[in-house]
Amino acid sequence: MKSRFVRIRGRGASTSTGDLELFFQAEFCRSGTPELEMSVFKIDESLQQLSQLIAEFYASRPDGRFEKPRDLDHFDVTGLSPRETQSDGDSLFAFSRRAHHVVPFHSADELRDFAAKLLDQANARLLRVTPVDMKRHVRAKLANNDPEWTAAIERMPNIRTWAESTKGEPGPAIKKAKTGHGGDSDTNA
Amino acid sequence: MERLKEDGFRHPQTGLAIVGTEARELAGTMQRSESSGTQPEFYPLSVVIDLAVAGSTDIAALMMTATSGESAYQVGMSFADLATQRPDELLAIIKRGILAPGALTWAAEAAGCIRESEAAVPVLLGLLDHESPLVREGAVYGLAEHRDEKVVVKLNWIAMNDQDDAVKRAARVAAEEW
Repeated sequence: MKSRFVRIRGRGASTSTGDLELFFQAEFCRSGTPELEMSVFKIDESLQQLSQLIAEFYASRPDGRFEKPRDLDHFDVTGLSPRETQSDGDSLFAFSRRAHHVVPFHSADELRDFAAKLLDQANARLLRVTPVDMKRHVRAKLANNDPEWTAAIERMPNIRTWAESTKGEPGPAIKKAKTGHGGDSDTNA
Repeated sequence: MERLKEDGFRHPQTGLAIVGTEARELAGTMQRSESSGTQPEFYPLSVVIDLAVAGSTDIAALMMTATSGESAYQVGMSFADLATQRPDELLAIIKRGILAPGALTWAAEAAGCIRESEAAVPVLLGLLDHESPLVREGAVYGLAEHRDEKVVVKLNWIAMNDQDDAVKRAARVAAEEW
C-alpha cells in the first residue's frame, strides 16, 4: 500500500473563508511566528492507520489530559512539502513516534508558499476520519489488552469512558418485523 | 530577572516561568536589545501580553512583527500557562478584543483549562457570536471543558445553527456526553 504524509489539523474552520493569512496563522504559526519545523506523519493510505494516528494524537497531549477527539478532516500533504526527515515525536505510542517526520522550512516565505498551495488544493486533500472510527480502533486495542492503551488508560481513565460510549454512533439497523396483522412495520430495535 | 533552578527565568512582569529553549532565546533577545539600546526584534509572548494588558500597545500588531523565525514560543502553550497560572489575565486579554482571530482561537481554547468555570464560561459564550468562525470554533473547544446544562444547551444550538460547518461539527462533538 502506498504511503502518504498527513498534517494533523488544528482548526476545521481554518479553510472556511479561503483567506490565506487566517489559514497561515491558525495552522502554521504560534505567537505570530511561523513554525519552521512542521510536524507531519507518514502512514499508509488505510483508514485504519489514519484512525490510529489521530486517536493516539489525542491521547498524547503534553499536559497529560485526554481530550475527546475532535471531528476534523486532516490534510494529505504528500508531494507538497519540500523535504521531510524522520524525527521521533513525543507521542506515547510507538506507531506515532515512528510515523513522525519534520518538514524543515528554510524561511517563512517557503512555509507561506506551502500553505498557499495547500489552501488552494485543500478540498481535494482532506482526509476524513470520524470520532467513531477512532473509537472502533481504541475498542479493538482494549479488547486485545494492548499494553500502550492499557497504560494510557491508567493515566487517563476517561479514555475508556469515551471509547465505550456509543454517543454519535449510528443506532442498530432498522429491522423489518411481522406485526401479526398481515403487514410489515419498521421497528428500531 | 529571577533565575530558576532548572535553567530558566521568571518573567518579571507576568511571573511566568520561562525555561529551556524559551529561556535561552529570551536571554539572548534581552542581551541583544540591552547592548544595542534598541527594542528587541522579537517580543516574547509574555511581554506582548503584558504590554497589551497595560493598554500600551496593540497586541495583534506586535504579534505580526514577531517574524524573525528564531523563536519557538507557542501561543497554545503560553495561553495554557496563563490559563492555569494567571487566568484573570487570559480572560482580560480575550475580553479586550485585541487578539487577531488566528491567536484568539487558541486563547479561547486555552480558557478551557481555567479552573473557575464561573469566570471562563461567560467570556467564552460571548465569543460564540464572533464574526470569525475560527474564533467561534476555539470558543467551542474551550467550552467543552466547562460543560454544564447551560453550556450544553448552547453547544447544541450552535451545532444546529452556526453558519459554518466546521463550527457545527466541533459543537456536536463537544455537546455529546462522554
